[in-house]
This record gives sequence, C-alpha cells and structure tokens, in this order.
Amino acid sequence: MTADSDSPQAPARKVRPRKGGLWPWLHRMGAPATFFAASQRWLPWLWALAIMALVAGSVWGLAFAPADYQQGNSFRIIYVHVPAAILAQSCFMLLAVCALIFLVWKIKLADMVATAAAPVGALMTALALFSGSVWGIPTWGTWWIWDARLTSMLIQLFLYLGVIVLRGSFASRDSGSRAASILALVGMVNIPIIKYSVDWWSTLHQPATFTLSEAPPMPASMWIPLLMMVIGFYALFGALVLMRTRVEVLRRESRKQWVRDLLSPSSRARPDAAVVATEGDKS
Amino acid sequence: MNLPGIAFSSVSEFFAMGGHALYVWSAWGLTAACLVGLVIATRLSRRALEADIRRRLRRDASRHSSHPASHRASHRSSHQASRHSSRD
Amino acid sequence: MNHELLTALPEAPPTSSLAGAFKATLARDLRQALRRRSELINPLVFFALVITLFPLGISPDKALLATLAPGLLWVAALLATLLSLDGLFRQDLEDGSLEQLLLTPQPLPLLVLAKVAGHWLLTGLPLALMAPLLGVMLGLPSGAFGVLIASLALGSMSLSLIGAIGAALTVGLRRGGVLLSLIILPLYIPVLIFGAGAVQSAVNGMPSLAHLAILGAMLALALLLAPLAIAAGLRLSING
Repeated sequence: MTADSDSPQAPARKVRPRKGGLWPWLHRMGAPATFFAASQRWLPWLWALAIMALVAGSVWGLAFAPADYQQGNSFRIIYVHVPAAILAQSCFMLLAVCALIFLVWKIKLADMVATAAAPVGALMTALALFSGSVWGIPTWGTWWIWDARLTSMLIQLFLYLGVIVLRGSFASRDSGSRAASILALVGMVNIPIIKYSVDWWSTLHQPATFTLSEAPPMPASMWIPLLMMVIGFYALFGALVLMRTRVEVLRRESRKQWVRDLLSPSSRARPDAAVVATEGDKS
Repeated sequence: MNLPGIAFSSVSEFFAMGGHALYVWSAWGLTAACLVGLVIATRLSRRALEADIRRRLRRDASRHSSHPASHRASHRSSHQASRHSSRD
Repeated sequence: MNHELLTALPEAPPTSSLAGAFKATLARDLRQALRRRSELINPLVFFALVITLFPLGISPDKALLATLAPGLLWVAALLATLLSLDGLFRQDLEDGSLEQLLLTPQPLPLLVLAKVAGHWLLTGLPLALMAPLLGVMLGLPSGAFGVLIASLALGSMSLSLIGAIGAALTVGLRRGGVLLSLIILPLYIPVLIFGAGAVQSAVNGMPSLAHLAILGAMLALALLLAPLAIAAGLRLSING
C-alpha cells in the first residue's frame, strides 16, 4: 500500500477545478487513477464497519440469541445463510448496473468493478447453497431438497459461472467485457422470471412443506443480530470488491504513467507526466 | 459463563450446539474460511502484480540508462512485459 | 452465398425496405437451409433418439412413462433446440454474409429477428409437430396432444430467441458449444417449467390455457428484448 500523498489526481485538480454535485463527482471517479486514490481512503472505514458488525452479529447470533423453539440451535445457520443469499442477489444486480454503465457510457471502471465482483457473487451464491443444504439435514432430513429458494439459488450460480466463463473465453479483453455485460443484463431480466416460475413450480410439486425463510415472526433478539450480519456482509462485500477492483485497475493500467509514478520511486519527480496521464484517462 | 441473556450454560454446551454442532459449525466455518481466503487471495494477487510491475519498471530503467538512444527498444520491452503481467 | 444476400436485399422496394429486408433475410435463410437437408433433420433425429433412450434407461412400464412423458418430451425438445443453435450464425460467419448483414442500412435487430424466425420454422415447428408421434410411444394420453403441439410451438419460439443470444455471443469462439449450453440452459428454465406444466395439466384433465398464456407472455418479452441482445452480441463477435 502506497500512501496517496503522491497520488496523481492532486496536480490534475489544479488543471480542472473541483465542482460540486453527484454527477461531476461520479465523472471524476470514473477515471481509474482518481478512483484508485480515493478508494484507498474508503477502505479503512468499510473494513471497520465490516469487522464491527460481523463480530457483534456473530457473538450475538451464536451465543446470545435464544434457540428456536422448533429447530433448536440449528437455526443459527440463518446468520450466515441469509446474508450470503441476500448478497448473492445484490451482487448480480451490481453486475447488471455495471454492465449498463459500461455498455451505454463506455466507462471502463464499471467493467473493472464487474470483473472484480462476479467471483465474489459466485462465492456468496455457493456459500448460500452450502449453508442452505447443511441446514436441510436437521430440518428436512436430507442434504438436498428441491426447495424453491435453493433451486433458484442453484440456477443463479450457473448464471454467475456463465458470466465469468464467457468473460474469460475471448482473446481480446474488450470483447470479453462486452459479452459478459450483455449476458449480465440478459440474466438480470431473467432472474425475476426464473424466481417466479421456480416458486410456482415448487408450490405445485410440494405444497405445505416447511420453508426456510417463512419462519414465524422472529423476536428482536433473533433478528437484530441477523440485521447486523447482513450489514456486516454488505460492508465486507464492499471492501472485497473495492480491493479486487483496485487490483484490476492496476492490472489494466499497468502501462499508464500514473501507475509508473505510483510504483517506481525514481520517477516521482515528474508531476507534469502524471497530469497528462490522468487527463488522458478521463477523455 | 453466566452472562445475562446468554443461550448456553457452559462452553462445551456452546460448542455442542444442542446436538447440531456439525451443521452449525460447518456452515459458519466454511463461510468464514472462504471469505477470509478470498481476502488473502486478493492481497496476494495485488502483491504479485505490484512486484511484477516494479520488476518491469526496473528493467526498463536499467535498459534506458545503458542505451540512452534506444528509446523504442525499451518501449517495446515494456510492452511485452506488461502483456506478460496482464496474463496472470 | 454472398451474392445471394446482395441480390436478395435490393429486391425489396426502397419504401417498404423494413418488411422487404425481413422477408429477404428469412427467404434466404430458408433457401440455404433447405439445401442442406441433412443438417435440417439432425435435431429431429436427436429428439427421437433421446426419447428412445428413456424407456431403455428407466423402464418400459407404460404407466410410469406416461407420468414422465410431458417432462421427457419437453427436455428432449429443449436439448434438440440447443443442439441446433451452434450452427445458427456459424455458417454465415464463415462465408462472410454475417458481416454484410451488419453493414446493411436496415436495423440489425429486425434482420436478426428474421434469422431467428427461420430457425424456428426449421427446428422448433418441426419438433412440435413431431412430438405427438413420440408422445404415442411414451403412452401420453391422446387428449394432451393438442396442448403438447401448442406449448412446444409457442415455447420453442422463446427458446430460439433466447438461444440466439448465446449463439451470437459465442459464434466467434472456437469452442463455443459447451459455453453456449452453460450460458443458455439457465435462461431456458422458465420456458421449460411452464411448457411441461401445460402438458402436465392437460394430462391431468385440467385447463392449460393459463400456462400457454404465460408462455405467450414470455414470448412477447423475448420478442421485445432478445433481438437487441442478439444484435449487440453479433456486433461484438464480428468487430472483435
């Protein structure tokens, strides 16, 4: 980690005066160099939030929340299963939003975020599947049941894998990015349809089974730690995606002048070159 | 362990999870392991990438100083090095 | 093959060029496909073969097969469609006519829709018409044949449209076949559920109009959005 005192956006600001408002801010952040410097300032806050929420939520959920009157202590799986499932869905939405931004406004940073986020989303989906099926043994007596939620989660895992594999199978990076973006958008349109049809199919084939999520209303001592875990997972996901995006930025911009300035101590005394590099990125 | 509100009366009972230890701890354990693993993997990949770029820059710098006239050659070598680095 | 497109497109009068281009593209695709008859019957043979495998793999018990028949027929038809998708744009890519399609002044989504319509006429529709024959072999009650044909005809239009997205995205890749199925099969699931559901409810003697209506709604959505995605996919596959 290099301190951002030598970050290249400092001289750039002198050339282009800082304007207020969300859109100018987003526009500035679209430049990889600016994002790289700024995201370093966001990361500690995200990590702090993630660790605090996860530690508090885990301790409360594992030790202090009362056992469920039906499921006993096995219900404590909910504190990892539900946050992972929520993140799995949110992450696909993030992929679709990034795809739209990349395809419409050609902002490369959006595609870097999508590249960084897709494996994290796939991991969250796999974790939700694993914890769900482990939870199935004490509740249903089998590893796997074609429950509506588990089934749509499995389909979603395939969607994630499709996006990841498609991106990797093109020779040129830009083609892979555009193909993965198109597929992410198509997948996003399909996810509600898949969910609806799988729900319908599942109620048709196995009515009145006990579903994981339709638990009776939980007392506060159960859902407050769940909320903490969800917040913690969101913060951890944000931190992970930021970290991975920063690596992706470095990888794709490794020939740019600002990366050279950042990583080689000998060429630090060339602020004019950094200005040229950042201005070039923005256009 | 007699904290108010705690759901277990002893540490061993906490680890036993009322007979559901295998399920609870495997779900929690795998989740934690995967997330921590991903954080570590990301850090390692960043280290490797930075080392890669630094190595390339050093090589460029040394070539530049030994052959001040051959600007194009050094440019070409940096091109190759970055292509190499982007592959992993 | 190139000259065919060149001569086919100007046939249309310039004022009604949209409908003309649609018709010309469709006619050209049908003509070309009819010239390669062996490729045309591939999905049908595959469909029949897969259905033959199931009684051998499960049991020849008529009652058991009859309960499985709606799902078996739909899954086999879906896989037959998937099999035919790989060649949807490949031939055109190799002979260069895909590039010309991209250069025509008419909107690409429309021309692509014509190509997909041709694909459906040559695979989806024959599969739907052939399905009752295989249904007889599986002991499907004859009352369900009408719904079987209708659901397959309607559903396979959506399958062609959605599948063409995957075909467009992977046409430039050397080994796109497996990738194509990974991309497309998850998106096929809603069509499969409601298509097989329609036949199932017809077997049970219940009205299946609701299922067909939902299949129609999916088709409407696919007709609206898929051509855009297919066109975008083709652009990136051609232009790199």
